[in-house]
Amino acid sequence: MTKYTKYRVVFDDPDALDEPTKVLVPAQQWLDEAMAGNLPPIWVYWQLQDDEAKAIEEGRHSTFQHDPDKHALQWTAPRIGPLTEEEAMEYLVMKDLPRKCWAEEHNRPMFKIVRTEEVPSDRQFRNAWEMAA
Amino acid sequence: MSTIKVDAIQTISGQDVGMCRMFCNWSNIGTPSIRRGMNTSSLTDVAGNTSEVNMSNAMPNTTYSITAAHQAASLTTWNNTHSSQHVIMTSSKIRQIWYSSDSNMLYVAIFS
Repeated sequence: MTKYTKYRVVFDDPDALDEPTKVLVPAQQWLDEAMAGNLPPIWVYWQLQDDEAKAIEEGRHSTFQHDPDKHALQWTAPRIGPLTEEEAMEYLVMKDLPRKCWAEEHNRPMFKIVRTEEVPSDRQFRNAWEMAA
Repeated sequence: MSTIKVDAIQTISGQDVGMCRMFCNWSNIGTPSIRRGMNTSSLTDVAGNTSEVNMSNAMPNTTYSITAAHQAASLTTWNNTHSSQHVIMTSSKIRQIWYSSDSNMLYVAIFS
């Protein structure tokens, strides 16, 4: 029987504060890989993100190609070992949330890892929802 | 069980064979949830008609192709690409926007 994670991440993108608070849903298959110890160090993804962000900034994103060696590190870098579900959620925040959410200081929290049942299931409520200071 | 791990498959004459590199099938009715996925690390529920799918492993470039569709909550028919937009944001993230509100069945797949 498939088990499903009890966690979600709610966050505001500092670059799109007029948008509703967003909800990040982890993929169970990815979490299983994380808990089995099959992930590379997080810097492997940051390196790729940085290279791509630079290409976007320089207006060459449409022809952008990752450096093959850096790209291959996703599979070839030494694995970091098994994570708990909570550690995997923290890793996912650093991988999939805009870096400004968690790497920069703001005058209120920009993200929070919550239990699924804490996320409003009503869309109208969620659209009007804001993260508390 | 054995696992085959390769980066690319070619024909005997050396032509690359396209493969499905990622797919995600999800619902954003109520609390959003992923039904099934491959090479998907997470899904971001942005708004009633907008979701973003994050890939586990980045694509080598942004010149991949996408197919996407959604099924409105009250319908049993699929609306495909003419009623869904998909925006390649980066090599590891795509955004899907569709022309109705919450949908019980959404999917996106990447081929390269």
